[in-house]
Amino acid sequence: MDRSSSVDVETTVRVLLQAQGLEVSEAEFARFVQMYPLMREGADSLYIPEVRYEEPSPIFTPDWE
Amino acid sequence: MPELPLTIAEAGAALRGRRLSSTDLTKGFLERIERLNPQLGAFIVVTKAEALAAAASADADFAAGKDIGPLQGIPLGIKDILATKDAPTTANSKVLDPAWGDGWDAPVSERLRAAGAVILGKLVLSEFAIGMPDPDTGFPVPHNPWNLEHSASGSSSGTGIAVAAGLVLGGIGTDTGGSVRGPAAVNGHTGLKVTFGRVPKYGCAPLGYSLDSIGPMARSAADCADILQVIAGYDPRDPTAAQKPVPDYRAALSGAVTGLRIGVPKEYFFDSPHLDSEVKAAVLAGIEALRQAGANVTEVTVPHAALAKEANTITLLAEAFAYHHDDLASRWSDYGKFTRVTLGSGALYTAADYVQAQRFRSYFKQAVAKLMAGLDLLITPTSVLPAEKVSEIDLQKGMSRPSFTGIWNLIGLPALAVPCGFSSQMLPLSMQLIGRPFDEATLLRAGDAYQRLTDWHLRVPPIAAGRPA
Repeated sequence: MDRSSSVDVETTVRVLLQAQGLEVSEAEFARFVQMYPLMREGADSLYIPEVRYEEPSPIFTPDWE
Repeated sequence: MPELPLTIAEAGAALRGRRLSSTDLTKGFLERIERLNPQLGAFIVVTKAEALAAAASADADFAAGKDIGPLQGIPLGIKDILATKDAPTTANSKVLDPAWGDGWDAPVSERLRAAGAVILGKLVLSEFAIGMPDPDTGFPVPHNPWNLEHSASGSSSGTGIAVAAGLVLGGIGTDTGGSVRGPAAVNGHTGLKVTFGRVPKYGCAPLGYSLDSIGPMARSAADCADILQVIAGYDPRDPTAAQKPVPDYRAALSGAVTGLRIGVPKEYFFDSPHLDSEVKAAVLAGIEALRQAGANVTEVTVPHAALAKEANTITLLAEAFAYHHDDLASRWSDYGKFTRVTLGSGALYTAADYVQAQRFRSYFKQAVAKLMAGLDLLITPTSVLPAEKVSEIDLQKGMSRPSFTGIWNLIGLPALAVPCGFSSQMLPLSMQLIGRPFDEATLLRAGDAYQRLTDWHLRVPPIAAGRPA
């Protein structure tokens, strides 16, 4: 599903930036709003069948050395 | 003053033949920096006194019959994101705490000095190795020496410019998504992105922890081999440094490519509507030259290359955002206007996005390993376009273009940018050779063999007086 078309992009971007304490200008906010759908589309595109059972990389190791 | 040499190899021969002293060589480069740096914006700081002292020491060693290798007495520059004991480290930013890199050498800086190199100073970069040049930050603005109105790319822009314009004989860059290869490509020389872990990155301000690499930039592949020989190898201060032996890179430069198995991925790389026709023609001609020299060339497909670009972007921005989180929240306006928006965009990804990018990364590593089982290297264009006019750069458009470099950072592979021609506007064109993990030697051998057949890497921009373009 293309989530970028089913959410309020401006509200989402405002909440995500505020949650991280970022205070941006209106022009910068507009730039983030412009970028967000492309970023979301890119992130969503990684859910392909080939990756379904993959372990993430890099892997944590408990070794002390 | 005799004409300055173009390459480390040429300078080394002159030093050993006593036709030139390191002191005279260093003075020549310092004079050129003084003359050209105001226009080109390559150096943030020039360490003149320290460089002359290092050159005098190299001369004394030569006079005493002490020869510690190819970098002895050779003027180099270091990207200003690595700690150096004799100059401040800024990462081209007002934000980096000056105390972080104060008074000590990163392992790479340490190794270059121990090899007798003459460090001329610290080179300009994109702020924290990301973003675009920003005149408002007070740092020098980099300009492409082939055309001052065009981009010098990033993030190792200063090193790219300095090598191309003959302000240094070689230098150090860092590469997280293409930051060695991009500047090498648009400024017209060679640049090596090393395998992740090949060169210790302790003492280098991070961008993407799991993607960052430090690599050599110089006119020729042979010169890159000489620099890599010195900076490669384990250091316990970098938890990601590889404990693998360092081969003899210079010995690998046989000049032969007979039987070398080269894969050429057409899909995504050569069939992209964004790919400039002159770039495409030059890279295909470069591949043909290697085929005629005895290489076996086959067409292959890199599976899901477009998705690899996305996974690299998510990984880079998420890791960079974590590093910069506190400073972005408290010192937003101290960052340059391009840098802060790029870094801040990391806030827009979710934790699951990052994990999924790492799961894709696992898949992609195996898929490329399978693809390269019967190949020694892949060749693609380094970038879709020659250097863009700075006034025409459109960041939004850039996001939707393919990237031919970052996808190899995602899986840590080595990749070499090699000059392969010029556009009709006299801007350099470049091809990228991608190798198997820790097989920099094969890339350097192929690059060097190509450079024995061509002289694209020896062309000098007209602004750098002394030799015609």
